[in-house]
Amino acid sequence: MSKMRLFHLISSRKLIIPISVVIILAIMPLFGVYPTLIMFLYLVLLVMSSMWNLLAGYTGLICLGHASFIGISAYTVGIFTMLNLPYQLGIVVGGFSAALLSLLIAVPTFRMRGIFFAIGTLTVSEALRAFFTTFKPTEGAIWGGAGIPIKTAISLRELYFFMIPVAIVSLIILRLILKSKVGLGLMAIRDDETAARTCGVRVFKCKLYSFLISSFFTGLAAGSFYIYQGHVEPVSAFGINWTMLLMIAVVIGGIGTLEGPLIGAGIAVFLHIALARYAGLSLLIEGLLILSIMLLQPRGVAYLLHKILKKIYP
Amino acid sequence: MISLHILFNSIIMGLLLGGLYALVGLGLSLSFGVMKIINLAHGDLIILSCYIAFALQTLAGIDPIFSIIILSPCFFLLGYAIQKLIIARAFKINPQTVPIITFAISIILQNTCLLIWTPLSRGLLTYFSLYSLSIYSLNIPLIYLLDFIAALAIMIVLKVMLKRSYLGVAIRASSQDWIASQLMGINTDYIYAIAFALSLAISAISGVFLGLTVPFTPTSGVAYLLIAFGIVLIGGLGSMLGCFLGGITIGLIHVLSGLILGTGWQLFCVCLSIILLLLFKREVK
Amino acid sequence: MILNVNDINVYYGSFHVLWNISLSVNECEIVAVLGPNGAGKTTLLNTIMGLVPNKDGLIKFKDKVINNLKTFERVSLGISLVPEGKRIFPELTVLENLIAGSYINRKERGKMLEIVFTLFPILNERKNQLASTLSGGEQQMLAIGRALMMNPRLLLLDEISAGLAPKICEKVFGTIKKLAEDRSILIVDQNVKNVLEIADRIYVLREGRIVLHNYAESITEEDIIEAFFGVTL
Repeated sequence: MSKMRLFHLISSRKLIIPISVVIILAIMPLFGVYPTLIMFLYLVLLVMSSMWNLLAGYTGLICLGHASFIGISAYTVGIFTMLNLPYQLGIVVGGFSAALLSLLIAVPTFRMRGIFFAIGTLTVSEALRAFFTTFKPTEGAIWGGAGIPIKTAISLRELYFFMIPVAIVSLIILRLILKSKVGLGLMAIRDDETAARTCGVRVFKCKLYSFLISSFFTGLAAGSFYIYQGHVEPVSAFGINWTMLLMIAVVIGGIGTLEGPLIGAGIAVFLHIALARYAGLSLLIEGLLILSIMLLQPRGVAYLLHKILKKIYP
Repeated sequence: MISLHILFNSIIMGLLLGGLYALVGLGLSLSFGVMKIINLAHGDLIILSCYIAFALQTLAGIDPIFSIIILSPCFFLLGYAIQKLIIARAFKINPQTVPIITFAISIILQNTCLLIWTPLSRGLLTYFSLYSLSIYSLNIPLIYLLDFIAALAIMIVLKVMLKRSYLGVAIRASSQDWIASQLMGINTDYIYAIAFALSLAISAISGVFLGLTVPFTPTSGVAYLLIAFGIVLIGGLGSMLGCFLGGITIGLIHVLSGLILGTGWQLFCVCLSIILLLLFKREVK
Repeated sequence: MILNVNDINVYYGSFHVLWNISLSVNECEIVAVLGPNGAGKTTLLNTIMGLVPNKDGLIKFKDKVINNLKTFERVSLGISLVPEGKRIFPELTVLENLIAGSYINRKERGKMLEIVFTLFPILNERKNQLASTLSGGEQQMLAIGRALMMNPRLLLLDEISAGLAPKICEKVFGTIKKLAEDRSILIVDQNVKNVLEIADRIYVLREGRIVLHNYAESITEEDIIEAFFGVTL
């Protein structure tokens, strides 16, 4: 068989690639703790950034306060472990509490035009950060009582195997939404909300769906991450660093595309691990990367790769 | 129960602090009002000014008040460059990328300051930092009074410039209708860059006064972005009086919540007020 | 010839709006471009001003090629446009609007203000009022006055009779006739009757093409109606 025919045979089997990806993911722990950690962080960031992308890239809602969902879920998990409740339930309830929060802030923030929505959500996450810093749910422990230690018997490997299906399911649901009527509505809203409304798109409903789904999966990923981290405190959980990281992963990869976060999360995790010693250097470089990408190729690295691949395989 | 005397003292402090906050909001009012873009790096640029003033003081012994003379023109040029080279270009490609770009600038600034100056809390000191004014039974730190006077002075100067000069007319016209402004022979690209440069020059000055009044860290910028935004919501765009009223409102909320609930709750109460404002304000004029 | 438009084509995206348009305006002449809705009259004026780019062809003002100049650069050469919809600055006062108009002509500000106030006394009465509080007719007068502040050699007028009461219309057109003593005027309008009374030469534009060009005295209203609709009566 000629090389071309073989290639077509393999690529036409639509299941081959996804299955091989899953297999690679599954055997990762065999390579040791460090690769497992990297892949775990990658999956966490992938889920969160894909969900941020759902809001920003597909619905046109730039949510600067995404950390609200992360923090609320993290604190839910913290409270669950504090009360000696099972952590798995904690993660799921964390996802739901994030979704509940999104429901609460949806009503007031949705009627705000673009930039007011961005700042409105940012204000919410900052308010939560201030609240938890002063509220001090624990005595002494961490951060003068504002933090909660999370001690579980779970190992990194188990967390990793939990994240794999979470990531796969979230991406599948994302794809399903985008191909559905809701997805079409979302993109219409992104392009021109008034026009979408006059076409009969149920703007509020669509926005709400994307908000709920985005926050739920973000909550799941956040819960897992903070179990790994072992403790939660306000600055880390509600801080603007999360929003920065998510925006970095999405924008560098390619905003408004499914592949964008796949690539962007990879770049972000790589830079963070490589430069972990210099606090802030990885973020600084990523910030410069965003600037360059926005000015030179706003469609992101995914588009660049797409162009290169097209040249190789016309 | 809080004594009336302490309450009155706090109200005065809140009013004076409000002047400083008005200055913080003024820069955003300019850039948002004229170019209709939100500069998410606004707070971080103010903090940058704090840090550079700090460096000038610790390395060269320059009093912060004097460093204003150096910082303000430098920030003016920086603002011109940022607008011309980055923001204007991004706007032409796609206006929706501007928030992302300014956010990226925010990321860059925060982490640069973090790398250079560490997360340690810093402050600026000047000749009268430790002096207080005692009138009757009131005790007011001199620096608060200075903040207020500086804010007032700058706002008056800006108001006069906007009302009386051709540049001012050009700026106001460009913010209302850029096509009609072009038809008047106004180079709107240049005007936008000047407006942004002015916004940064004002931010530089407010940064120095801020650093003299409260401690700052690399991540303090976010809070000031929100405060500036709250002021714009209260006072509207392009109105000096509005900025002043907005600043005083936030200043009072800040001080009084500290008095009644404790220092830890100040930021929370300010954030809560901004959320409430966002709920009740439909359109920013 | 103060303005020479030579064989220009204009596109909105890939939509061909103006086809091989050539026209000219001479010193102290009133040239009118008439045509039905959507013919491209406003596009033509916007292209001359540089608000819309043109592919091929040349636009020359005072024998200088202005194709590649930005709008504000063309304005400083001496062309002024009173745009469709007036576009006065709503949050500036009447006086401030006029001052904005003198941005490139600061030395003559006092003199031009006097001229504008003489032509439109109502503007003097309302000079400290916000422009948005003026009536439609007054706003139109303000828009024209503002364009005059720069003492242009060529004044472009886009649909100035739109929304004006007939009496005010006649007054305004009378003023325009007077203005042509010192400058050239290119006027675009749908009000055929008023325009015919003051214009020296007429072009008729239909669906992006010039279908009629003649001296005003040589044309009858029937000729124009025919040109508008492409039918013979």
